[in-house]
Amino acid sequence: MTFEQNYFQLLSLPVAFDVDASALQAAYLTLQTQFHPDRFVNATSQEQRLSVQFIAHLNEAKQCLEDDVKRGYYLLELLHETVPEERTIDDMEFLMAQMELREQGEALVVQGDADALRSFQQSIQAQYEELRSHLSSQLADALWNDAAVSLAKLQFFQKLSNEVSQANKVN
Amino acid sequence: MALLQISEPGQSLDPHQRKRVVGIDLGTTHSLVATFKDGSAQTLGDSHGDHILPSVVRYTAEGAVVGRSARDHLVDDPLNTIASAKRLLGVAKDDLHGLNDALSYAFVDDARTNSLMLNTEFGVISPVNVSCEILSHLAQRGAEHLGGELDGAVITVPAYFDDAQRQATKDAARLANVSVLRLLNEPTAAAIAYGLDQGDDELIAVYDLGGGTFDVSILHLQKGVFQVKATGGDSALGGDDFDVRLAELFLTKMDKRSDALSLEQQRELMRVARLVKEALSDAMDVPVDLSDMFGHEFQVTRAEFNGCIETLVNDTLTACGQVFQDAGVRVSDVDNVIMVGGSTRVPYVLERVAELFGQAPYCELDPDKVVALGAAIQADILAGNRRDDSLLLLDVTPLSLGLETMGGLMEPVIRRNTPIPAAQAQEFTTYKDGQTAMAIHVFQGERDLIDDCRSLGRFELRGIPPMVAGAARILVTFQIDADGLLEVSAREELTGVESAIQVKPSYGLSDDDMMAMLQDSFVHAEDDKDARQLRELDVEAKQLHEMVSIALFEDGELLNDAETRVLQGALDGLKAAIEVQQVSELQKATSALSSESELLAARRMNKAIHKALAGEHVDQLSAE
Repeated sequence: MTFEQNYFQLLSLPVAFDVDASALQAAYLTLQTQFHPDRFVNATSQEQRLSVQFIAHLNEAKQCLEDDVKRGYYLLELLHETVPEERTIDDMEFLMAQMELREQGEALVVQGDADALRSFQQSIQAQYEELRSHLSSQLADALWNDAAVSLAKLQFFQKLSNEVSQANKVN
Repeated sequence: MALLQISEPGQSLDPHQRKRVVGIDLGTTHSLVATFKDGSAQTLGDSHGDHILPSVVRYTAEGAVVGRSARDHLVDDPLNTIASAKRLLGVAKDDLHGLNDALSYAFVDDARTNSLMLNTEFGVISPVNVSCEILSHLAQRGAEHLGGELDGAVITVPAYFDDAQRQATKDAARLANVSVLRLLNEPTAAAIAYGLDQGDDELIAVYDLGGGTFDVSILHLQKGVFQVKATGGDSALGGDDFDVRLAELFLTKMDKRSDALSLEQQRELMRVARLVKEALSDAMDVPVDLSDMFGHEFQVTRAEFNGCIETLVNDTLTACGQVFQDAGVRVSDVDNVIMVGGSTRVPYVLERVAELFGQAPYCELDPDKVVALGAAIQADILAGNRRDDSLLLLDVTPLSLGLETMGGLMEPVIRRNTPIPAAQAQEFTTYKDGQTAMAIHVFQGERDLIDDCRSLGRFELRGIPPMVAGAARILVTFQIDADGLLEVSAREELTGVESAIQVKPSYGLSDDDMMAMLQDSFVHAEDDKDARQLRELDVEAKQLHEMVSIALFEDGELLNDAETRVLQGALDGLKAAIEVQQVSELQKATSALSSESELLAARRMNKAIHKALAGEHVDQLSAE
């Protein structure tokens, strides 16, 4: 089965970076309620298969749209049609800053100072949010190359913040 | 296999055509069957009025005996009396050492296979056989109560069960000739039983401490849709472990060592420990009488017992913390807590859980029955027996699924807690010049090294044209169905070479084993196999013909003239085959119509999706 709509259309959302989370959830539930395989227990095996395929597609769409980085790349591809193959950054200053942040985070986790760690995480979060709003306006203004760079940076921040909370969990 | 009846689209079921469906809680220590009758879910009893069936099967030369009468022989015939078989379901021999030492059966020592088999007086038995006996017994009970052969059952499994264990459960059902409507996670069943599906926007935690397993799940309920946010737990921790700890306390008090005990003494010790544990739920101290076999009598207080189990209970609370993290919620966000499983009767457990959540948990329903009751409700919904089908269950996969890559690393393709059904594709490439085959080895687990994960199966993609290393583009697709079972396929993108497997646990039963067992179970069926096959094909063909005719009548405009002609041809072909009544003709014509109607079905689906988004009501896809 081919699905003609893009993820935004599928979930009745405007094609834009900023997504209304509750509208997304509402559309998701509407579709799940009608097309989940549980609704096709008495149908032909063909319809059952279609339902499984569609819901798998729907789940993928939701996961993509709920993740800032995934949604960013998806949107870039959708609007600009090409995404830079290599998602690298040659902004040395940014990379150095990232490395420092990473070392700082690791040190805090090892020290086990919960308060310091929390404020560190908050500061990462704040920088992430700032970058995110940059990205949003770059995409809205069709500044594709700038947006691609911001996306790569956003991915760095996302990874960093996941790693810190993961390391914190283990300790 | 029993075929389900199909009503015409847009028509509700005749009340007399209610499907005979049940919910089965296939538990580690005990099992139950329940059905939805007279407006409520109720568990079903045997002729003595006993609802709970001990999950114990005894094999003698004459055959298998299930339940209480089997349990009575746990002590005097331990090698032929199999209890807690669920712990062995879908488990490889290599994994055995991780299990409770109390499982002292005569395991078959055959180096050629990693499948777990037991020697009994009846012969060699797989844990799947044991579960099959229990399922048959309960299905039979259900059929007697409902007045006819069952149309299907919802069977519950611990949320923590991995793919191999789910597959083994389905194998057991297939062997027992029970048609599985859905494998349902136990905690989710409990939430349904408590009617919490009426809420509008709630976060529910289910704490399920059974005899042999511990599960904790966070469910999110929103407008009638249940979503499992995250699940966790321990598939080898339960109330049986409380018994073990208490038995250790007894031994300390009697100044005895466990390795000096006979098998009979061990079983007696466990029996008394269990009774004392249960008595301590009501009393603050309980006399222990071990005078017959040990010559000792003494007292045990609840405080002593609490001390014994404290670390076990701590472990369950730690697991809760992990699940909160996975679900991205805080303890204080939880609106309701549900207690499931007989071990939650232990006051200390209730106390600690209430303390963790800062609220009194739900525990009004019998914690032993609650899972079966929920399964019965879900079975009723899935069978289409009720008009208000507002309740829908969305599930997630409990463990990450992935592939082995160079260096013995696990590359996750579908991550833990991804909503299912799910499909995920990832591209891989060759690492040597001229490589023409690629081994696809599928694993499950959260660790980075495949040695720490469980192997689910392997297959090979052959016929890749020779290219330089890294030039081939192999797209590997993982698909998980609504029961959480996995199918993996691989395709070389440049040439279209394809290969696929339905992942069967490499240490479970092979398809050949399954076929042999199925053959065995059919031996005493008098039916002529061919006649049976023809009958099933005939039903299938007529149903397909009718469904496609209706689809074409309703949505014929979705096809152009040429497409319609092709489909009409396939319809006529099947009609002719139905008149001829020959197995091969029917098979051919059915599969021809099935593939020719694919296009129409897909377009109808797309049309329905558009309508749904436009807020229109879609007749043929709702239950009204």
